[in-house]
Amino acid sequence: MAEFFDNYGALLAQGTIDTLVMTIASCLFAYIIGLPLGIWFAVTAPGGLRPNRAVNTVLGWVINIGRSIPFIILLVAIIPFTRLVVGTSLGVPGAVVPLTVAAAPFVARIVEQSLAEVDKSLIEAAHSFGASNVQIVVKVMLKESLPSLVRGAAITFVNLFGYSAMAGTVGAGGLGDIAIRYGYQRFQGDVMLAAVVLCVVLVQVFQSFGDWIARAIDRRQ
Amino acid sequence: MIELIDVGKVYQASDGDHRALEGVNLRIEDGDIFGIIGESGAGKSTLVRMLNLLERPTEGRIIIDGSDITDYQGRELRELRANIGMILQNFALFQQRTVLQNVTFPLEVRRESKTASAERAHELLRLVNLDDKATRYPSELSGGQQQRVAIARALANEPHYMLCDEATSALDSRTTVQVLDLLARINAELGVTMVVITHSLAVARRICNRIAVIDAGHIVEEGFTADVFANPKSEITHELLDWGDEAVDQPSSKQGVNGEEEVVRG
Repeated sequence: MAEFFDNYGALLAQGTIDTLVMTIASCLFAYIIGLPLGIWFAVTAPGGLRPNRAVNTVLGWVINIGRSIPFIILLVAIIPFTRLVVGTSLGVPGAVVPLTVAAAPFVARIVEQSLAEVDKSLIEAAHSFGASNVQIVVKVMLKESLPSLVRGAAITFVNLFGYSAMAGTVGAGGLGDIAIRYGYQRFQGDVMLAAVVLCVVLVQVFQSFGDWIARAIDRRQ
Repeated sequence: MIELIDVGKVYQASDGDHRALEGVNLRIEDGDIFGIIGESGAGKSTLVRMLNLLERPTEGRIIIDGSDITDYQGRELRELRANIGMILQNFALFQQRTVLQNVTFPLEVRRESKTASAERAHELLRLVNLDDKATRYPSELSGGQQQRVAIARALANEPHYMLCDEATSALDSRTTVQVLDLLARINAELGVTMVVITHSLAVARRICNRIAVIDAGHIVEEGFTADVFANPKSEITHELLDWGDEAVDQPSSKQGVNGEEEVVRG
């Protein structure tokens, strides 16, 4: 056991860090793009704050197409774009771009779902007090759906964590890369197992943490 | 004073037009508690939502305090709405805000100072006798308490008018009495003109000085409450009279708004 850690401890630690950096960075960027997109999608929906059928239809298409492209295809297909943005298609930076592109439409969709759950009468009440649309989005829709948004963020994070393992196959590094290179290609089952166990533990920790925050901030009993 | 002149509303749907209101003429004087009574689907919710333009009429004009508000937009509309408080059947309290933060919401959207807003909110919560619940969340309150918070919130901007859309329909009869008496007190003490939408003649009889009966989008009867009750002219008024609510119909008890209630989660 001690020998195993001497040999592979540093490798697994670096893999964990790479995975976390990829996941956290792409999650952040996915929200920077996906959150406004999701709000826009919700606001323009029929019965929304400012319904706009044309905009809503186009957004719906963009979001659905983005979500339906298999990640492994997307990863390779947008390599020129990735190079344009970060200068390389390799390593952690090379993985963050496709991960962000894959997750942003997903984020837009779950944000829209969370916002759609907000009771219409709350929006009506806010209108009746003279609130503007921007105030209603910020002070009513986002605030009231915050527990649901946090749950969505936890799901996004865990999904990206899984996707980042696939990004490992094109040389991005991380735990997925280690599991594939050592386990699948070199038949070192013990290294693969260690990487997989680390993945399971990390996912559990982050999911539980997300659930805990969502419960702690939810005032609806 | 609120005046409706030949107001009508047609909803356009894919399966053709649907008329909700037609030729509505009403005059609501300052200081009135004006009841609009009808069965569900009669158009009374649409009617009350036109007074603060949550719904826009497709015909006619709405005049409030001498100004034609029918085409108000943007800032003008938001200023108008601030002068018209509203309470709804399901209370519509913000679940992620405390009682105090609910009451300060209308002040917050008008960018009033935090301290002044909090002071005003505490004052209003004392008025509805809930100041001790200021830091609680709506889910911790009973239905009657929640509606009293909603009433305090509707009064935050010191409105001249208050719209009550089936404000007591989700409450049991004893709590209904407390909320109605609170509304009557606010009308008497603060001079807030009230427009009360209800399907219950008992509710109307208890607090309204004038009522209009609405049926299938038309006003079929209008007058002083006592006159309408003593001498109902329309068939629908007769029908509504048969559906009285005994408990609410009792003469005003001196129970006030302070009565203890059981906590009902809803």
